[in-house]
Amino acid sequence: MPDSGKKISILGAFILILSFLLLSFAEYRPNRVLSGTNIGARELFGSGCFLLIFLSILIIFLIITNHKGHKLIITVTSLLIMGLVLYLFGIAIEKETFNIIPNGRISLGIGFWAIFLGMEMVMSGCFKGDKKCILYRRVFYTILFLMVFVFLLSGHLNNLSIMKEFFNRSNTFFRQIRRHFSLSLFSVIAGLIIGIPIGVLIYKERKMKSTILFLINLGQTIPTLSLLGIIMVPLSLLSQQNKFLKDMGISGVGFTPAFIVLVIYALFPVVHNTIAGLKMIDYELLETAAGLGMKNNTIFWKIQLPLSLPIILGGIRIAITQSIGNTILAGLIGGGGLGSIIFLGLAQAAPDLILLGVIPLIAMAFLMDSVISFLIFYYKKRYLGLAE
Amino acid sequence: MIELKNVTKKYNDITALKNFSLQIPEGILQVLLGPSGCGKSTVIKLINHLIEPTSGEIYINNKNINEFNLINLRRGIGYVIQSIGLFPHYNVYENIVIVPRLLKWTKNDIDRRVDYLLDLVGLNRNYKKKYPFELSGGEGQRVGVARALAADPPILLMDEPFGSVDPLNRERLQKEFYRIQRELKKTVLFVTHDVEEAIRLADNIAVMKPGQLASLGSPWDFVTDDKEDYVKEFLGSEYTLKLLTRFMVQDILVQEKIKSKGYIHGFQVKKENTLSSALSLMISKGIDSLEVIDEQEKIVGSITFEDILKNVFRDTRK
Repeated sequence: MPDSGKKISILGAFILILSFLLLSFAEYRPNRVLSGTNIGARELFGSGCFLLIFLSILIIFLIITNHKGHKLIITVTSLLIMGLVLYLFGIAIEKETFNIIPNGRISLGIGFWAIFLGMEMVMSGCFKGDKKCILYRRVFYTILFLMVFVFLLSGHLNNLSIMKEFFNRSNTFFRQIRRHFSLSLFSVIAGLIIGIPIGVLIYKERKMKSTILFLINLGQTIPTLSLLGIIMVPLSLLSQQNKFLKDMGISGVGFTPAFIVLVIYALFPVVHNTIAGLKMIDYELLETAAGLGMKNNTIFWKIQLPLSLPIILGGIRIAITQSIGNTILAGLIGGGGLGSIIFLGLAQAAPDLILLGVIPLIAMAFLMDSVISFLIFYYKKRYLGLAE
Repeated sequence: MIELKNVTKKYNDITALKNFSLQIPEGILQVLLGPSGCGKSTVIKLINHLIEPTSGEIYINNKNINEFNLINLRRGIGYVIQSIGLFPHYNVYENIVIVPRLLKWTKNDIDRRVDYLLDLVGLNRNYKKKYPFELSGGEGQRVGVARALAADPPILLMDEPFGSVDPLNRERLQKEFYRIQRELKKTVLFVTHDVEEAIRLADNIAVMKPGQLASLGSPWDFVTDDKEDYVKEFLGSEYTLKLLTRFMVQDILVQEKIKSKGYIHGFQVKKENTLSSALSLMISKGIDSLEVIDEQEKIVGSITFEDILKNVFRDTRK
């Protein structure tokens, strides 16, 4: 690995060691809203803490000796640290000390998040300059997420405050995830159905370009929340005056305005990437297609669309990750989704409730991003011979 | 037969082609030779109607191309361009079968045709599943030729088809295309700026100067002195020497005259070698005669410098 990568990795490993030595890994509160006491790694993990520090030092040693095969060992060691932390954490919070008061809450401390930071630095430095860097890191994080997921499912961490929040609202939790996901997904699909034809139209009829792009860019420029407000007013007026719309369940709050705003936001990346993808195709190739006797329709479906697909998929990727983030706002206006959990947490000043909304949100965005990135990678490699 | 009558093509203020007339008889390989930007490619694009002439008419088999159905016209014309023009997301098989598929051939006919074409252009049949990015420049160009020939069109339009291939492979492709054309006898319009390529392939050469036809004739016709200065300058003063590549040793090996050993210097040429290679061997060894051998390396005769002087260009040197 290059020297700059080494420095980042070593710094990351030091962050790991320092968090085990100095930072609090858990916060114990007598009830949900009161502030609590911080508990460090040594107190929480006992002798396990020394093992964790030893593993972190091992990482530094491996980085300094700088051998090709060490990257794999560093990755495995990092995952081991993470697994160990989760395991020891689960054991620690089972202890009676934390379970005397029935409403006592134990939540994740700052050290826990610091080791995420440290680990990210170790990994990014470790694979810096590597051709398949992105791929390796994706694999690493996928394993990491799976590990956390397995620990959560096994019930090992059930005493954790965030899990208690989860059990308190487990039925709404999954419903909100589903709602969040489908709201994001369907808004992007609607964005595609509208946006791709618009992109094609602009590509073909240059005259309309400036007008349509102005409107789409405008949609992107207005802050999400303001756009929501702008949409809500005419929508509620419409539904008050029109009985049919009202019967359809369309009104100024809830699903409809959120959906419309998300579609407007999805349009921007989809339209721009469609135009860019079509423009990128060599003109000679299109002339050849025409010269071989392909009709315009055939040229579009068989040549232009498949060749611009990687770029259009790139637009979809931006649209879906952005949409997953923006869907939070639906929670503000009764549109449901993880936003409703997050805003509830904010209102109640309950950080664990906020986390309960944010973590699946990050996982969802990460997952969709990975899936589409993989599709693009595979398509380019298989059909166009372009390796990233 | 392809015929262009007084065709003019203007792009805004720029005249790409001015009063251009050309006749390409059936089964003839017509080379259109000229410097870059002289309007050669414009001629090709006019014929398959990718662009519309400003004035003038174009006929194919005595029928104005405006009377053809545009799509059918193009499907009946094989088209090869310089940058190969293979579709990167189609493998070799899918690239070749584009026109047969558009013409709704049966799967069996298409498969048989692809095998035939791959054999014809000298590519292994297991190339079918390869993608363009896996091919070398020469291989890609062969696929380009195979694709143009796919639906067996009577007409081929080739726009500097071997332009992006290295010299060694270009010569091989030229030789193979010459062989294919002898076999298939298509009506071909072949655009190039390479004089040697024109000499190797052409039945007829049309030399162009910007926007206009400068001179027309068979490759031998250009040996004579009566051409205008522009044409002579473009073809270069070694034109005659280059023309020797068109002849094979066996072409002037009239009778099997085996001279006495003392006369022969022991240097040999194959009878299917070009006269230019025979001549360069003579010059490099400082001799004026060579033994001629056949495929089995058996001596079948000899040629001398005198034979070349006497026999080549006999007809053009009046």
